[in-house]
Amino acid sequence: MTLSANLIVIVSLGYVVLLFALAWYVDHTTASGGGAWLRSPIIYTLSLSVYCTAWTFYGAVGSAARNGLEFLTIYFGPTLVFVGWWWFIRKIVRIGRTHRITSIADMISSRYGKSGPLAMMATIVAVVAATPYIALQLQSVTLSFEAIVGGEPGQDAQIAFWTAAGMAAFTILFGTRSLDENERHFGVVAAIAAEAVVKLTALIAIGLLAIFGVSGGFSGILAAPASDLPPLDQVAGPRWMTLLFLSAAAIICLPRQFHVTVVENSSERHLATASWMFPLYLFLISIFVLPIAAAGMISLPSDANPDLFVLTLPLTMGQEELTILAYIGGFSSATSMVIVSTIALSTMVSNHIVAPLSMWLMPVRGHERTGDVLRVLLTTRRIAIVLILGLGYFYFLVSGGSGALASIGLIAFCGVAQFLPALVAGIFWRGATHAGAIWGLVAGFAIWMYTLFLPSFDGAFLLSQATLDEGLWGIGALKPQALAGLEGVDPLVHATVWSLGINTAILVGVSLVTRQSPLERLQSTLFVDVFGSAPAQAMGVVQRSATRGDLFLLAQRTLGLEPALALFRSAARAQGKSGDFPDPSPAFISRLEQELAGSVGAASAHAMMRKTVSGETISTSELMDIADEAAQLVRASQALEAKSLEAERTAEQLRAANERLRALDVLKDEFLSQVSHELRTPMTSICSFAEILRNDPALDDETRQRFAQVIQGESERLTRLLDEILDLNFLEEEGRSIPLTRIDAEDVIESAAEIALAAADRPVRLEWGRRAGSAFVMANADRLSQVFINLISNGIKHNPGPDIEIRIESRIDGDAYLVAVEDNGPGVPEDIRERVFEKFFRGGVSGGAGLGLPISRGILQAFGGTLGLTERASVGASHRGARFVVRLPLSPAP
Amino acid sequence: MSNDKTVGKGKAGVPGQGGAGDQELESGEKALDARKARDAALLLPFAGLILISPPLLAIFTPDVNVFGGPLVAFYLFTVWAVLIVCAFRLARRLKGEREP
Repeated sequence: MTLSANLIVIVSLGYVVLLFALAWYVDHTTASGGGAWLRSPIIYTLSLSVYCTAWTFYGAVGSAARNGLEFLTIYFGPTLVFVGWWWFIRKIVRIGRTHRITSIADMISSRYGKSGPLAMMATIVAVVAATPYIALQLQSVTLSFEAIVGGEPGQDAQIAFWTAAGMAAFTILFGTRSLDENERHFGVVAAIAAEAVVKLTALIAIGLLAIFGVSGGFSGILAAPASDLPPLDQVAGPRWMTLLFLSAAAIICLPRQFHVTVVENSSERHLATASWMFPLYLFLISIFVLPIAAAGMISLPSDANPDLFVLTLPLTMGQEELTILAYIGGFSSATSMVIVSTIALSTMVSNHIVAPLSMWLMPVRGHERTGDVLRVLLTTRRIAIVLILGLGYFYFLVSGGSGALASIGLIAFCGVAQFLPALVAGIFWRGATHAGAIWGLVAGFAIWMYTLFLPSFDGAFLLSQATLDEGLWGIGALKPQALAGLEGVDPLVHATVWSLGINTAILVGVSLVTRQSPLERLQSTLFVDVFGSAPAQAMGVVQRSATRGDLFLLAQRTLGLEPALALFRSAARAQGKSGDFPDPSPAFISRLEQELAGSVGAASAHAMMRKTVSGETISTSELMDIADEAAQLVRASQALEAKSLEAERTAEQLRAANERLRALDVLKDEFLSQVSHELRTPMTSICSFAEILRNDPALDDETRQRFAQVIQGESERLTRLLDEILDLNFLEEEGRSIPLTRIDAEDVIESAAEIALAAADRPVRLEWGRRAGSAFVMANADRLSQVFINLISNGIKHNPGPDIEIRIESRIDGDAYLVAVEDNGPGVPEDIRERVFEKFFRGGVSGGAGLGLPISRGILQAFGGTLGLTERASVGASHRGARFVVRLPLSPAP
Repeated sequence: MSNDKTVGKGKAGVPGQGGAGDQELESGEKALDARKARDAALLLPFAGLILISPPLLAIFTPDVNVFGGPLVAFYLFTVWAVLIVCAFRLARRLKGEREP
């Protein structure tokens, strides 16, 4: 069965008109500020599916029929790259957005010092690599048209020509309407997204037909002999891995893929959605490939072209509508690929080849007109579109449209994969240099041309059949498909290994022995550290000057009058100036250059700026600052962390200090109440006795005498108490400033013992133990004496027994002088031994105010010594006694 | 450094310090979770690559049929679907993420 050619032409034209209408409508809506839905992640993901060209639509089934599961690798590669978006795509998109990248050639040249030659080289590689790919689309449209209408091969060239012409018209209309601020084309993206839906729907419909419509249905396919099924066992091996690698590289490196992924990206968040939705799209589009291939092999004659199963399957089954749907699906895949490819490639050609050339040819001063550069670029883009499609058409004619679709596509994949080393090294390795990138690219490109691209013409173009068979000049080692005698390898694997291997080796090797220019160093830092560095700071690194007039002239020539004015106004506002013209500061010049780069590419923008400004220098110190910035950020965050730890520690100390203060406050209150209590007791008795003396004249003299004695005694006690309190206060406040002299402590003990015994009201037996003889310490004799008197009198006072004994011994222990004062009293229970040194603590019976021991300890501490209390070694059955030990540091002889 | 940090966190989270400490702990846990999601996003493509590369793939090449299709095709599509699901779950966790 065939369908009439007119019907197919009308359907095709109708479909194209719909696309035009959609693109026009969307462009119209977004121009008036609407169309927010166009910036949704779903549209973004659908536009990514421009990856699925006619090669997918027709070629995947053909590939499955010929090579089994191998077709899956073409979708696994992109799946892995998108699933791993956090690694690579995210960084590329961020760089693209930060630096206003317009194409993959722009990206590479911008990274390697905004190099014009590198951009030009990359553009040439991209155009040449895309040529077979575009030819593939033309071929598939031609094949599908012929298959449907049953035309003779003579029509090939004609159909392909009109297809190419139609696509050129669409692209020129919607792809080059303006030098868009960010190279975004909403109309085109909407059309691509619509086509993505069309091709998926068509393929699924044919897939369902293959499963349920073919005679015998699903079980019929299953029952078919293995020879009629796609060979499914050839999955492992070098070709499998090569295809995985190439397709993973292609999803980034193909100019159209870079364009939709990076340049048309309107939000980084869309990547997160695309990271699973795009693989899902690929999954859905692949899942019916095997059933269609199987159904085609079973039900179609064995000489049928497997590349056209998608079309011939419904055709032979008389499914007219499905055939047309399939045809439209294939047409969609082909047109969307061609449109986006030519937009991307024409941008590259006009920015990187025509713009630098036209700069030499541009009119000299005085003849510039508003927007003239803009017009030149737009015109060259239109011409470039026609030329690129022309090249594809030429390839189609020369190669005779004979190869299998998949193998043509893979030639292009291998070609664009030459960008990969420079791209990966560019964003992960700061040391990659311009020389390394350009020589690697040139070498890889040359090897790809020689081993894969030119042989694809089968001797019809440049390389003769003889060269293919015998090698260049008959040298066997130079055989294009067996370099250095590497025979028996799949040509694709062979070309990939050689071209990419040598490309990478040269990139790395040359980078290691060459140096970067300052601008290159700046760019490499900005690219590699894109997540760390602040772009604003980089703006001022390139120091240069220009007049406002010259800058404005440049801006309006390239951007057009209105956008240039708007840009200058906003910059003036940002600088806080009232007029339309900002100061031509280095930062503003850099910003202007970036704006221009968004239209003409980094290399051309830089070259244009160079002609306008004077004295371009890159301040090395600022460059160092930027290079250091990532490290600085790390350091800053570490410093911050350290600071917060420090703050935490300080807070801890403050808390502790606060607690101590609170405790001291409580102590002070206790002390005050103790003191007032202590003062009150003698005061009360003084008052009451004085009152009795005054009010009772009948008292006899003896009683008066006794009362006066009591009053005197209590007054003395009061005075003593106050003295002690003052003492304590003095020790606590100024203990450190007691004047110290070198004295013999032994003498002090003897005189202190005498005084203490004289004051005792009971008989006391003093026993001297072992003596040190003489011990010189730094102390104050009076104060030290006070300590000993206090210790001895305590021993007497607290001993209720009739037979009081005090024993004193002293000795030298290393550089310390030890004195022990022991008594035969009841001793101090262990649990209160430390408390006796507290103020106002009184061990049971009355006596002093309980300040003696704290004062003694304070005095000794002022001398650098200590006062301790232990239990006396047993002296008898019942008496244990207390043992106070004074320890003072010896003073060395002067 | 990281040790000090944990100590600091631990201190702040001492019971009796009130809700602030718990909140801090929770935000710390969240930060750890986000880091785990990032790590997983970095590892996922490599896991996928290993699963569809020759050494592992060879296990599934014998001519065995599952659900009417060859085992290896079934296996490859299953791995693919699992990758998509993993990417979907990770994307939801990483979406709101700002660069640390």
